[in-house]
Amino acid sequence: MFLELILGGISGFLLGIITGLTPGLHINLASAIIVSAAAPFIHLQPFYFSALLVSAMISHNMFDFIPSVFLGAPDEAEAMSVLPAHQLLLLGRGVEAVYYSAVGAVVGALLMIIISIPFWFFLPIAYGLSQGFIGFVLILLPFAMILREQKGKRFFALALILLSACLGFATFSIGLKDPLLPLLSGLFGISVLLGNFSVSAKIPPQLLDLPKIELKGLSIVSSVGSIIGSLLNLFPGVGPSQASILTISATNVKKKELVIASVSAVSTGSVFGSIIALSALGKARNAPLVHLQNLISVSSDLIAALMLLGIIVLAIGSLTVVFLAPFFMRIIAKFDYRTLTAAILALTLSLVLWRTWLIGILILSIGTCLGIAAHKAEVGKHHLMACLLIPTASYFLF
Amino acid sequence: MEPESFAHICLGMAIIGLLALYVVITFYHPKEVEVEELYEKDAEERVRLKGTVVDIIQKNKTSIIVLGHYRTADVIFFTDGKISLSKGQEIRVDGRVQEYRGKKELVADEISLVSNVP
Repeated sequence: MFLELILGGISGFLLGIITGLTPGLHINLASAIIVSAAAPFIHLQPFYFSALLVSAMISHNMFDFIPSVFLGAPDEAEAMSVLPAHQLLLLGRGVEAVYYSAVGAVVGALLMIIISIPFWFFLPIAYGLSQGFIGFVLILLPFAMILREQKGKRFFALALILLSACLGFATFSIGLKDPLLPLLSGLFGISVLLGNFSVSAKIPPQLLDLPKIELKGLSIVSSVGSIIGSLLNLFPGVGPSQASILTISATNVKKKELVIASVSAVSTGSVFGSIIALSALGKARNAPLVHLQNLISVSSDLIAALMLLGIIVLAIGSLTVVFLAPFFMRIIAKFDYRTLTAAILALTLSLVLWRTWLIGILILSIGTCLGIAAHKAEVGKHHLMACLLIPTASYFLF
Repeated sequence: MEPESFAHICLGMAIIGLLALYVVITFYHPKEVEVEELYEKDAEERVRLKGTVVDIIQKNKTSIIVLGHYRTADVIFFTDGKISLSKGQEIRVDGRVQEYRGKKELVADEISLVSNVP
């Protein structure tokens, strides 16, 4: 078992680097591809593949920040941090943005390890208590977020919420193989990528020196982010972007660097929290853990081993991501930014066409219109998460 | 063009797209599969399954309809009343694939009778 976990961990780490660096590739799709490709062998080596899935999930979570920063191709988890990260990139501080993201993830993961045992006992109690009102929380959350908008923009935000919810209901009613791919790629991916055509064709020269970190402030925002991220596991449909807004509101953080660190900690807290939730609640909150649950009987020993593996992968991953960022930046700098964006657009369209056929392209197009509308009207893109929140709330309420 | 005007145009296009999507969904039928093919489908995928009823198990508000010959598949149907099907009938089921204890099954949204004759 030990050797299988180590080998699975190494394989997953390397696969996570590849899938994370591939722009627009969500971990749910990446894990589906891994499981499909390994289908004939997967039940022969359950420990190996369990370690591979968890390791790939954590590694992907670390490395997908790089295309978010340098190409502006975020997934839902990074939607809140991509703007400050992109602003730092345009100031020549893209590597710094990656560094803050890595440090935020490490602080968030360390906190999750420290609180893992009390959290394991707390989750079932909180889950039991939350069941009565979970549907109301999910349906009220997007409307409560409208109050954060300026008065003149609230009606537009409401329209975005209602249209995103309609798009979510329609998408899930079709029963596509991978409904989140066209939905989230349109709302959060393509709409940002199209914006790249209006910026300069070249990335400005980047500073390679790492800054001195203000550890106290970063520890506070990352710890709050990690705890809020881990609590996501109680509320299906609430994504890291909503948790990030709650974290930014709770800590009142304004500095771009700290926003990046806190969003990264939310994402890491959510990943580690989902591993604990798999054991404590018996519920898988993301695709890699759904595959793991189908593969093997989840024991507390296995979860402890996977948590340990996770923190090792994260530690190595955070060092690698900081070293890889300048290298990735040098490669990107050699290409015309618009050509690169066009290539990523083509890749995303191909993936959507492959997984969901023409109906996926229609969903992608509607999502892109909504994403651009939010961007142009300068209304928060988190409102678009109503596409998941309201359909999930209706499941609990009706 | 003013960004706000552009935003409103995008919103209008999204509304038109949504209307088109609802029209497509109305006429959209999932891919028809045989019992053997169900095991190759991904969980959550929507399919149309055609097969012969070989057994019906009624449990409170849940009916389990077993379809197939050599290889069988369970169709789960939630209903308040008793299901009016019998063994030997050929039926068509629209539903969503789910994996339960490592086995693929179909949660039915709609069941229609194809033939009474086995």
